[in-house]
Amino acid sequence: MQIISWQFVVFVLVVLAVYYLLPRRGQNIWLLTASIGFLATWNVYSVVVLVVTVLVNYYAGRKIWRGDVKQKKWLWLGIGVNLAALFFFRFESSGYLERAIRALLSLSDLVNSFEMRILLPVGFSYYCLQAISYLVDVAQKQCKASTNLVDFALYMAYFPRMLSGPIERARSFLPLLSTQRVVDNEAISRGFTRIIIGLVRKVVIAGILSGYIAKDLFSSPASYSTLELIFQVFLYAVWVYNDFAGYTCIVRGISDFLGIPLSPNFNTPYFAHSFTDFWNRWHISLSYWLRDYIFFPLSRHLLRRKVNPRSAIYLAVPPLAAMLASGLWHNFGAYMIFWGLLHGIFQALEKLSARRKPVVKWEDRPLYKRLASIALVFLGVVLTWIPFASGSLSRVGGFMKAVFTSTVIPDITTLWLIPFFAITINFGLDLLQYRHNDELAIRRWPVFAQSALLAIALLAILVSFLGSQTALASFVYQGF
Amino acid sequence: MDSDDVKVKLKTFICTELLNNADYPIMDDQPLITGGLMDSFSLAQVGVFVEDAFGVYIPDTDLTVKNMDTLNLITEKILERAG
Repeated sequence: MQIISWQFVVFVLVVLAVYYLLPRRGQNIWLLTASIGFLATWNVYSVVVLVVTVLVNYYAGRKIWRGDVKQKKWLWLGIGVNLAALFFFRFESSGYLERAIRALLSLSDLVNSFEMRILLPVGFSYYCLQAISYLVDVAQKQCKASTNLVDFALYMAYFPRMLSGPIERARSFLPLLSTQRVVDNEAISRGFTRIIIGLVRKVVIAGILSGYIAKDLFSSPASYSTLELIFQVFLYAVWVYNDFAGYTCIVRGISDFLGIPLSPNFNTPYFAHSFTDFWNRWHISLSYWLRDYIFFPLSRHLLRRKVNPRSAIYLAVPPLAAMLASGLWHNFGAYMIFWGLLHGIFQALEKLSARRKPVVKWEDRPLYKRLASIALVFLGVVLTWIPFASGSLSRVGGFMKAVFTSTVIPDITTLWLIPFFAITINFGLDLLQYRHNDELAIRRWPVFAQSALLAIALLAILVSFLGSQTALASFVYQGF
Repeated sequence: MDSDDVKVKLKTFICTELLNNADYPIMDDQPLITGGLMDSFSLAQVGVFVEDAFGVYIPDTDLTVKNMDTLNLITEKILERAG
C-alpha cells in the first residue's frame, strides 16, 4: 500500500478511529497489528523477515543487558547478524549474488534454468539500523533492554516510519510507548500542517518536476545540450529533496495524530554553508546514526592513539569512512560508493582547509561570503547527485562527457517556466523555515493568511494530483 | 571536581584547539554549535579531551547538540557522569 493512495487514507482513518477508543496497552497492540497489516500489503515475505529480526534483536538485547561475561559476545553477534542480513540483501538486490552464482553454474547446463530474485524486504535497511543502535545503546547502558516484546516490535515495525524512516533511537522512542499519549488540538494542528506541507512538497513540487526530468538523461545524454543537461541535474536536486522531505513531513504528521512525535529528517539542506553542515540538515536521522556509530567511535579511536587532530589522517579518515558506509547503505553499486566518497572527500577537504584558520562566527561573516558558501556547497551537492541518479559509473562518464562536448542547440521554450514555478515554491517554503528556524513557521501567520494559504495549497495539491502525467505514489527513498 | 575549574579547562581547550583563537571571548551560556562556532562533529575531540583531562567517559550517543551546546551544558554533563 503506497502512502499517496486512497487506500492508505482509509487505512489511517480506521487506525486512528480504533486507536482513540483504546487504553494505552491496547493502543500499542493495535498499532503493532496495523503495522504488520500495512507491511503485509507489500508482501508477506517482508513480514517474516521483520518478525525474525525483531525476535533476534529482542533476545540479544536481553542477553546484553544482563551484563554477564558474554555481554560483548552477544553485542557483536547481534550486530553481526544484522549487518550480515543487510549485506546479503544489498548484495543480492544489487545483482552481484545472481551474477556470482551464474558464474559458478556457467560450466553446467543448470545456468540456463537458473533464476534468482530475492527482494530487499520492505523497510529492512531502516529498521536494521534501529536494531544495531538499540544493541549498542543497551551495551553502553544508554537505554534499558526492552522487557516488552510488543513495544520492542512496535519500535521496529511502526508503520508511519516503515517505508523510509526516520531512523529512530530506542532510548527516545520506547519511553513514548510506555507513557500515555496526548493528542490535543496543538498536536492535531501540528500534524495537519505537516501533512499539507508534505503533500505540497511531494505532489505539487516533486510532482511537477518529475514531469520535466528526462527519463533518458543518463542513458542518452548526447541528445541534450549542455544547458539542458545542467538544468536537468538542478531539477533532479530539487526533486529528490522534495520527494523525500515530502514523505517525511507526511509520515511525521500522521504520527502526530497518534501522539508519537517522529524525529525530523530535513532542515533546509540547500541552505547549508559547509558539507558538514549539509549532513546536519539532509537525512538527519541517517546522518546522526553514521555520526554516532561510525564517525565518533573512529575519531575517538584515532585521538586515543595520539593521532594529531590537525593531521590529514584524522581529518580525512572518519568522514571518508562514514560517507563510504552511507553509500554502501544506499546500494552496493560502484556509482553509489563514488557518491559517498565524493561527499567524504568534500568534507575532508573543507576540514583540511580550515584546520588552522581562526573560526569566525557565521553571523559575523560578510553577506557575500555567506551567500558564496551556500552557493558553493549547493553546487557541490548538485554535482554529487549525478552519480546518485545515474545508476552506473559508465553513465556518469557519459553524462560528464556530454556536458563538455555536446553540440546540440538548446530547445528553450516557455515550458521551462513551469519547473521554475515549482522551484520558487520550494525556495519560499525553505526560506520561511530557515529564517524562523521552524519548519512550521507558517503557523505564526495570522489566521486569515493561514486559511488563504491552506485553500491555495489544497487546490494546488488537487490540480497537481489530477493533472499529473507521472506516477506520484512511490517515493525515491523507498528503493533503499 | 569543581565546576569553575572544569569550565576554565574546557574554555581553554575549545578556544585553542577547536576555534584556533586562544583569546576568543566565549561565554558560559553561549551556543557553540547552534551559534555556528563549532560543528557537532568536533564533539569527538571534546569527548576525548574530557576523558584525558577529567577521567570521565561521555558515550558517543551523548555527544549531542542538546547535551553539549554550551560550556554550562558540557560542564553539567561532565559532573553528572563523574557522579
